Amino acid sequence: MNKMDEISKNFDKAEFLKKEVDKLKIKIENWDLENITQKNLVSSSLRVIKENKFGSNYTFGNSERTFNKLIAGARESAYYGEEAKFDFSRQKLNKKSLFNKDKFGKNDGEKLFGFIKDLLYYIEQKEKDITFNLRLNKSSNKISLKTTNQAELFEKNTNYQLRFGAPVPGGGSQISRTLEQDAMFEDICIDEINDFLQDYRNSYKTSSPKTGNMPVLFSPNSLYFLFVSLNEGVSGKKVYQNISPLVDKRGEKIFSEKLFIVDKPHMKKSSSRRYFDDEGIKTDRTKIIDEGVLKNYIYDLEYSEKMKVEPTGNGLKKALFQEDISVPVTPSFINPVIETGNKTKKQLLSEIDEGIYVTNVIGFHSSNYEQGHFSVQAQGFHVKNGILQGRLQDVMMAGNIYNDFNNVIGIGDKLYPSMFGYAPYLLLEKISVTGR
Amino acid sequence: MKDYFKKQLDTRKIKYGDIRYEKNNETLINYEGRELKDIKETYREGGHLRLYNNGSKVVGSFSEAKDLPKTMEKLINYSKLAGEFQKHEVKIKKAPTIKDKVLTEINNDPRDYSLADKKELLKKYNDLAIKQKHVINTKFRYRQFYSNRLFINSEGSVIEYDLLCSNIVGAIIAKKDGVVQVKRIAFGGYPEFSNLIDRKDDILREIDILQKMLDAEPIKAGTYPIVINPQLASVFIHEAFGHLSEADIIKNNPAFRKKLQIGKEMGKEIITVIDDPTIKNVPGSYIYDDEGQEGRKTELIKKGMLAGRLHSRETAYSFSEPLSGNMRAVDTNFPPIIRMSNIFINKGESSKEEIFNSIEDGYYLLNGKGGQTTGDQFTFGAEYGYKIKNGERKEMVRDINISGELFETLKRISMVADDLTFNEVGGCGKGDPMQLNMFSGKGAPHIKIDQANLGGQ
Repeated sequence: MNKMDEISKNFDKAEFLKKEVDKLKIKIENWDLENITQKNLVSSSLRVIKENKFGSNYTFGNSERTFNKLIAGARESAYYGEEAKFDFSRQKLNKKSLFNKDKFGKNDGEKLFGFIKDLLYYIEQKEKDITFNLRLNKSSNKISLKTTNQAELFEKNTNYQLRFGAPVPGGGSQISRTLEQDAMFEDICIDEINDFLQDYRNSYKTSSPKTGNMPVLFSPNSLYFLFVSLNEGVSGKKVYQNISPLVDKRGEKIFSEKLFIVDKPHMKKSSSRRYFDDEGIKTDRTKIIDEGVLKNYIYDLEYSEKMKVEPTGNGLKKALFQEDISVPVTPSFINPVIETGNKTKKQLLSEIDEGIYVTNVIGFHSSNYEQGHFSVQAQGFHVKNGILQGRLQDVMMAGNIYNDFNNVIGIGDKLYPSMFGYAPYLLLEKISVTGR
Repeated sequence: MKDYFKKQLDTRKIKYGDIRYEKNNETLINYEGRELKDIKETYREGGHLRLYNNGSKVVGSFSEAKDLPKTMEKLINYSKLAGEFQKHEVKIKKAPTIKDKVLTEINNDPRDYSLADKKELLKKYNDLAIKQKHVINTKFRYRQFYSNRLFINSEGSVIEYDLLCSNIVGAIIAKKDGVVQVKRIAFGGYPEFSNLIDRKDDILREIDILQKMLDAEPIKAGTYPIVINPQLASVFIHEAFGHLSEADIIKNNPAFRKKLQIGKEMGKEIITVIDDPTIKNVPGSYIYDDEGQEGRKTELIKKGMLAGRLHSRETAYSFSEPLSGNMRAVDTNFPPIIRMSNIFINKGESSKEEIFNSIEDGYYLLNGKGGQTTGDQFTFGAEYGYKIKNGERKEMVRDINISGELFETLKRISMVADDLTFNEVGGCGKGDPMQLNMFSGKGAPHIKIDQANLGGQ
């Protein structure tokens, strides 16, 4: 008996999600190989309705024993569970990634090491005295979802992610860059390396501004705090619960008219790309912010049903620091993107008389970020007349995204991966900064 | 299964290898507002293989025991490839061979209670919280985790051990005049389930504080002398110093290895910091770590001087320092990494009153709400605080973040109280990908920091 038959026999309705990951990670620390990690895992989740009560369970592994325990646990969960408030997907999709030009099969290791050797050699010629770290991942994912409503969806993708960096002189925080591709990197990304080295060379000195309001240039990497806060604001769940600060704000201007933010689930390069969400709803491009105006909330099946709207394909098993099969489904951006502007990083810097260029923020989750607040340590550089003066030390930055992102001066012309989503460089007119 | 794993290690020509196989049971119950969002008992199993071979370290996770030979083959091939690339051979420190079986024995085992009992307990707490004035939402979660682990290495160690805990954590969200504030609660069963029962009064006390937080003013950003309570001081020592005492964080960072040499002056003589997995009934207690080593007490700072470090066998070799038994993995998806067990600032000689009396104009800050470090830079939040004027506690403040540089901040700790307290519930995030470890304890007494950077709204 196949698994869906076995599931159908046990429940009135059910949704079976299976994820298989084959991952290889090579980690270099201080120029030498630290370790190689290989992961080959299967995980599954089962959500069920029995006698109109909702239940769920998950497991790792693919054996008969784990499958039987998955079913038994879901049965118990439904027994103690509450009334089912939504139905499962009825959609169909078979999507082996169109962009999956996986050039390397069995010889992955050799190819990846060859690339790393070239990259290390280039940087060693330029700056041999830094403590250089690197991580290169290759990840192949197969995701399938079936429901007793005849939904049947499958997708497969392969991603390569490169992160390199070095701790600042003295060993503190790290200056880094991240790049992603759907196929192996063809060259060693010389532009990004040179930009990284330029930042690094400016970190030998320290310099901090006096306390006050000042212009802030955010690097793409640092803007993840904006995405996380905005995700909470537009979450259909938080809107339904009346916790979101964006309740009843659809159609209103909440950010600068220069800002366009779109959830782009099919973006070719992004390692987050998905054609259907963790509930079997097809994903699609969704405008979130258009000329600063809030256009849409995002929904999973549960909250679309509660708010009587269509699901947007944003039901992911994702929490703040966790994304795996064990996490309950919640509305989440798949791949949020801030649209590019027309200025280079150099042009944006030149527009700062005195301010800061922020490469990373730390501690954002200690603030009330659901309401848009941030109070974070700013890592980056002090800028005067467009010139980097030195690396920031003991500098904090505080505010609220729904106030501070109303004053955008300029937006960079190139997209880079942030820790969540994609963003260009972004210059704001003023933020409250605590410095000297 | 032991013989099967042993055979896999013995029949391959590898320098060193170990296998950790786990059978994990987890119970999760979640309430959000009045809704039961999740209730389940899950089971999962799988293994993790580590090889030190051909001068390199290669590790891998697998879903089922039958997948081990395939994983072994892949890792051996990668180690051959890596060997040509590796500049310095990776070595591990010699360690005793251990054959043992240690399973948890407790008086009040959460596994003896039904899922219905646990649901009822959580519902009672959630219902109590949600009916209070200004409360707009609640999140209450019960989590119980039991992990039965088998560790086997190529040197002959065979250890069967387990981990057990239950806890209730909650967030109560209140709103008044547009101000939203969150109060966290945490009850820990490490390992006794009885710790989670009869806690209604504790919840009401926390809600009383939450009501006052709604009327408090945001703190004014700036630099002040501060007193921090044991819960927040323990977050500080864990986040700001503890992670730098984990040798894998600094192993390949020459600047930090130089800065953090044993014997370095870290602070005043009043500061002693210890990591100790042998303390009973706190979140980070264990007998053996996930590298087959006995967990040991380590003095990290002794009377202001750096005295020790937390190690794996690999870092103990690299630093030529003693083994400490701090390699932990949250489950089979992950390799073990160096983690604090129960880290704490040892009690000092001042009273809390003496510390308050020493401050003319400053703040008393309480309870952590998350923190983050990169290198020697830290930021963490406090749930709430009070202004201190001439030694007296005055009006409440909210929206508080503290940031700074570790080495300077440690030197600014000028008073340590005699009221060491451990947090009930553990937790720590580390690694790439992030491993959220619930078996991580922390403690501290009240401490005074002469000058701290506070960020507010």
